[in-house]
Amino acid sequence: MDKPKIPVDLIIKHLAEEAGQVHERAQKASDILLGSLETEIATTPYEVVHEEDRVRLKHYHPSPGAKSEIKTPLLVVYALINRETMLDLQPERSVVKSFLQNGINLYMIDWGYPTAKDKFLTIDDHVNVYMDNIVDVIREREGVEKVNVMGICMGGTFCVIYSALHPEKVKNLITTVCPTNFDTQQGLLHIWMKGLNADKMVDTYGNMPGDIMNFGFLLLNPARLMIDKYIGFFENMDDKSFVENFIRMEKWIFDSPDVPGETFRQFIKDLYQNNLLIQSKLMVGGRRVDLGKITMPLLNIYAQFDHLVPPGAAENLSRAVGSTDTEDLCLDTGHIGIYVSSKTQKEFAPKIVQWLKDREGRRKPDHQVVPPRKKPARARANSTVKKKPLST
Amino acid sequence: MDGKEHPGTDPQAMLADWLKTANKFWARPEQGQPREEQPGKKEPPRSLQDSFLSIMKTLGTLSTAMGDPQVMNAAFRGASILPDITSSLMKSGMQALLTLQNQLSEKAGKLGAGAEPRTFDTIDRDTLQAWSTMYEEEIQRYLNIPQLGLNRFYQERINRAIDRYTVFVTSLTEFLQILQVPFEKTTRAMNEKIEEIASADALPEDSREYYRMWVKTLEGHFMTLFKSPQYTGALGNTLASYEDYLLSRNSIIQDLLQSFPIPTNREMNELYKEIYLLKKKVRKLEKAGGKG
Repeated sequence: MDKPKIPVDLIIKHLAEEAGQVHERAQKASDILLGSLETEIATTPYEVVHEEDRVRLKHYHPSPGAKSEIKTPLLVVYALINRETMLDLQPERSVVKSFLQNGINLYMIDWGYPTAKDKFLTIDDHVNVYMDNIVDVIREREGVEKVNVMGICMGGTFCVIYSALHPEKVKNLITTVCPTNFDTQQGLLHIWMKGLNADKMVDTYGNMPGDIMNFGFLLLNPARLMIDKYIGFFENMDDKSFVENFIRMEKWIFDSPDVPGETFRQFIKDLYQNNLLIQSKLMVGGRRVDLGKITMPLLNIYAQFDHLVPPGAAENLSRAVGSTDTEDLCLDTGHIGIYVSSKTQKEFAPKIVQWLKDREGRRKPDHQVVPPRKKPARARANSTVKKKPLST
Repeated sequence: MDGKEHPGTDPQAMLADWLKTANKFWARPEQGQPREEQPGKKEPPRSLQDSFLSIMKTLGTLSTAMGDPQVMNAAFRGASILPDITSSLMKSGMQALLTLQNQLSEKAGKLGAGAEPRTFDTIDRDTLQAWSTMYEEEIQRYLNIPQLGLNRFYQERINRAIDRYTVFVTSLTEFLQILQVPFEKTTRAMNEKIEEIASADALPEDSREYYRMWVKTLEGHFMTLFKSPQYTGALGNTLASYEDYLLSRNSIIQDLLQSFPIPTNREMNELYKEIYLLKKKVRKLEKAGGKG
């Protein structure tokens, strides 16, 4: 058998060239890292208009000269995991800025950092106390009966629960990468959560530590998140803009407040393990969360390559609600990319703005999407809900 | 050894002499200080002295009893059991250590042999298993011996924390061992892949291409591992043992805090709960008042 021909000379030549490049890159990188870097996040100006316990309501200043075609204010509800600053990570990739430039009157909840005294707070407290009080504050400030509500990830789940329990206060509902169906084998998180002993965790930690959750998220893909990501950083350390944005992302991703213990316990047991929400069997504050009561228009956006909330966890919602105006939108990106990737920046915020504009002033929901209602969830899985991957 | 005991070093004879002396000593305070009763004068109570004499008397009796050759023989028979216990303990511990050493040697001989790519059903857990068994059989039970006396609860909590910490470290080691398996398998898979493309004369010239191949293979191996029952089991054990350790550690901290003039975690939790429930009540009343 012939010995394979290995281009050793070429490989050595390339290695020598690369060594030279690495030396040059290291010199540039040291200048960049030792120089001044702009790594601030969430720089868009806002005013805190309401505070209750650790929770704050931010109201963003409208962009000068922006046309306000949408009079109904929009309340953005972020998850309890990580922080809402992700929507305003960097000036050129800011969902907040895009909304403001399109004239949206924007409010956002900052859940703050729970401490030991918050460990007894349940989903009921977050939805029926903090969120409801905030919606009332906005309604009063703006003189409107209803507000538009947009939820992100776990915040989306809260918005779904809120809209089912308080439909009279919600004009339009937007859910983004929002888990509602937990009975799926897509994504490791759903597999792991099934066997998690939430009782023991909460009894041990009180509040669920953000660092432990972050470690769990890193373990979902250690090759990419703990190795490849930092190799990429070292390869681009000579690019100031890359370094600044990388540090911004690091700042955001490891800024993880703890999750109030009782909320965590209920979320794991009632949702991840018993999947009660999508079956309209979830009990919150002594009331059943009946998704059939979500009769306002619904825009449900999720990501094709989301490893935390895979399509299987998000796409069933529009078929479970009572609304006749629903739209599913699947973007070909990941869980975070949907808000921060340059590609989706051109699709995500503009789509929401247009969808809201189309429904502004409308009193009755239209019948853009009319899937057959009130059938068992399994049978409705194939109904013709509009699904439009924008990027394909 | 000639089998004969030297009279000066025979422990039984030495003890007999010592007991004789002790017997005389214990007897002296009582005999040497007879009470003198004066007529018409009531002797004041001498409780301390009486107690002392009573103790001396008891010790004297004990000493005399121990001096009896039969009792002494019986006591020596009991004492001779002690080295048996020690040697039995050492023998058992040595056996466990030898098992562990054998496992380690076998593992060293098999390095890399069991790294089949894309399968996770042959993870070598024998070495850890040997340690785990040794710990459970030889050490853990001593930490579970019921404690006695005033400090029993404190000592038990300390023993429990030591035990839980050891169990946690064992689980964590097993978990980390499982986490390194994808690296082992990726190295093997990469060797095979490079051999394959080298035979096809298609070796990439760019070193980054090798890295890309490696990281993609590693990612694939991790994904397969993460879905395996071995991984989920090890993850579950590690989390559970860490929580057990934290709970046992917290109970010691709780004991320590009790001696300081600051509220303990338990007390603060009770307070937080009360505040939480009170707030709920106030909100309910406010709402009811607003509606009224």
